Amino acid sequence: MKITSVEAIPIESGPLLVRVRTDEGIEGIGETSPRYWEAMKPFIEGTLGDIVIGMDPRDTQLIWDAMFPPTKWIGPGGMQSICMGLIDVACWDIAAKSAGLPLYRYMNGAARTHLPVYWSTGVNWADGLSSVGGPSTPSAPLESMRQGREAGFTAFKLRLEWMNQRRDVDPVGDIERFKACQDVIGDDCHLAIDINNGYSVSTAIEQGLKFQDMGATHYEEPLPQYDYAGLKQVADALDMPVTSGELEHTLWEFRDLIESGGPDILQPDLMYVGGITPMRKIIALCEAFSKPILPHGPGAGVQNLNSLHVYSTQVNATLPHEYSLDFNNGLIEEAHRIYEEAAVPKDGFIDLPDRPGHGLVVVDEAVEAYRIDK
Amino acid sequence: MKITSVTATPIRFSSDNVSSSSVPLIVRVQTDEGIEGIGECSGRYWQSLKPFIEDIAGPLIIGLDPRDTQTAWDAVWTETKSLGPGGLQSTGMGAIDVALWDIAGKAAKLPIYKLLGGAARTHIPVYWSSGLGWQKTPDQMLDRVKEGWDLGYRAFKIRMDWYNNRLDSDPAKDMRLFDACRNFLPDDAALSFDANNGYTVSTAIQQGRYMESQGLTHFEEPLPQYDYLGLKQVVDALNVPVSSGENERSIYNFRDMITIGDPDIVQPDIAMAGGITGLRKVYTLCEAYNKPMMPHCPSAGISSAASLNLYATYQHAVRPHEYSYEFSGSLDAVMSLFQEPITPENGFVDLPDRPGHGLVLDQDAFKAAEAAF
Repeated sequence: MKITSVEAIPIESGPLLVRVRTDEGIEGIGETSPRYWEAMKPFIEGTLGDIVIGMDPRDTQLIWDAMFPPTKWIGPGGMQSICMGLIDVACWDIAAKSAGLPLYRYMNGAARTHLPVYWSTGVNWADGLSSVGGPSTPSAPLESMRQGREAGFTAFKLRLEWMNQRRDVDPVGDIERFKACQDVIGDDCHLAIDINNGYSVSTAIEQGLKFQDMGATHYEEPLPQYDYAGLKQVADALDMPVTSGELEHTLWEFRDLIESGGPDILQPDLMYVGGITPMRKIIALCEAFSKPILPHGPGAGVQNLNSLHVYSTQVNATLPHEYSLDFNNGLIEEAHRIYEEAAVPKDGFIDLPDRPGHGLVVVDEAVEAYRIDK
Repeated sequence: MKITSVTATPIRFSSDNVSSSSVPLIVRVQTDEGIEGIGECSGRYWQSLKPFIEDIAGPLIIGLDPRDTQTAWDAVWTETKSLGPGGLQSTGMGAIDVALWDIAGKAAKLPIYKLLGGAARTHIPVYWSSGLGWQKTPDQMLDRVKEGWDLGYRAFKIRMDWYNNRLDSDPAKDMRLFDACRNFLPDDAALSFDANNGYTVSTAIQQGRYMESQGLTHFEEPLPQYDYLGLKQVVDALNVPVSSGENERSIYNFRDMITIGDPDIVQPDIAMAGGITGLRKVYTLCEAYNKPMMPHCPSAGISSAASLNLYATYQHAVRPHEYSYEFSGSLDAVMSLFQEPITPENGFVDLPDRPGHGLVLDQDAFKAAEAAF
């Protein structure tokens, strides 16, 4: 079997969809955030496409190794790993389909296929996330929390989306926002808090002690992502699990994060790390260091489902996996409108489909109707 | 003054036979006052860099004052973080940043080194850098070194260009290349060796040990760039200075490389490390750790001029700066792009006191190079 074409298609309020086709008519699908698709599309179709066309899509490691060294100037990380990841997951999809197996089985079997997911939602910035340095007050996304509660979720995460450029802007308000969300979801639900890189070390410790007292289930990315030494201070000071990892891209970045930062839980993102091939290695590294993983994946489509497939194969992966409709306007129909049959959460769980591949198949007419690159 | 447009144009020179994968990408920033600034990065993957620079970064800085170089840098860095850190993001930003500094210099009618606080020296030694050793015979590499010698260079570096995907492929041949060049050059001519990430730790130590016994000036990137712990082993084992840094992108990468890998010489690349704004902070970090710099710069055009402008301002920057036009075309072709050239003589570049980085596009030549692409 040979790869014959690679196509990248941005979808309106949906993903950047990647379709890898083969000479045997089997198609593989990957998706990521459409943000900056203008730069990613030529890299995926031109640069990476030229490398992988003609290769056997089942040779997932060979393909990854063929893409990584010659494109090192585009990386490491960021665009390079995301785009490689898209091709990688599409190849895994093809490989599993050609074997007639669901992806989790092609990866040697699921520890469980009934997987808990948590509802992840972020604050709404009046001035958008793109503002540089300007302090402004985010509102707590209570509406979305209510939506998740009504959908039967019992685990939640509030993302404050501060980012490095708005550090320590409103810590007191953060406590109020957390409390407001707790009031909406009720005492019987779990709530985690994600600072999104927005605190300095002492603020992170002071705030962490408060969130800990209020019962936060985990404390995510309190510091700028590059501050491993500071992360260690925070992780050592608090009893609740401190988490990080969504912004690390390679196996060796995870090595350094674990060794220097010592977070309690690791949160690799399937696309940021470069697909299933490196994700499995990173999970093995976490296993070696006895670190639980809680994959980053604030989406609801193929990206999320692929991450769940990988997650399902880990016997010690028992924490709820991230799930979010924030990037589909809160609408599950938008997350799934280009696919034949969706994997929809029910009462806070997703059942992995037992269809071949990851289980989502593209509807051509829908892709044509919603593509924004025409 | 306001930025009004940002464009990125891959070029080539009709007279040269350079592979299209490694053409220069010229970034032009225009302002409402009619001052144009120019920057450059490798056009490898220009298909991705061009939309990043024009469609993603451009709209984030159009309307800003080009002299607010740090503000512009922060705007792009924070907004486009999912495309980085490093690689595409820092390289595209680096080319834009150099163009903004060029505008700032032209607006003030000062060379960039003056805006940066003044040059410690403007007569700067450069070394002749020649690569693709992994594909070359000893005689082929020697021919390249002889070419540099005849042009008046007295400091040289030969690069193997192995990369991490061909680790330890043929260490013995590398030493034959080194010997051929070392035997040709007189003892007082500097010869450095760049493994380009191609060795494992023990191979690197063995190779380094041999070369230092024969006369080696510095030993560059012996290991894959991410192996900081291994780098420290090599550094500690050898007497010769071991260098690294061309693959580091942000000040945080450099911090980790220095504190963990502890190379003797740090080699940031102006485009890949985010332009003058990014590189200046890296230099300061090197100063804090007492590390000499030898900038990576495989370009003889705008990137070289910009890198030399910054390098000139550091009192302790006394080593030769890299110089090569392997990836762009002949020196004559590169310099034909500009109204007035900056060319080395006898292994030195004299920085001009013209405004900005000192290179201004000859619009006719630029159009011809754009068309030739």
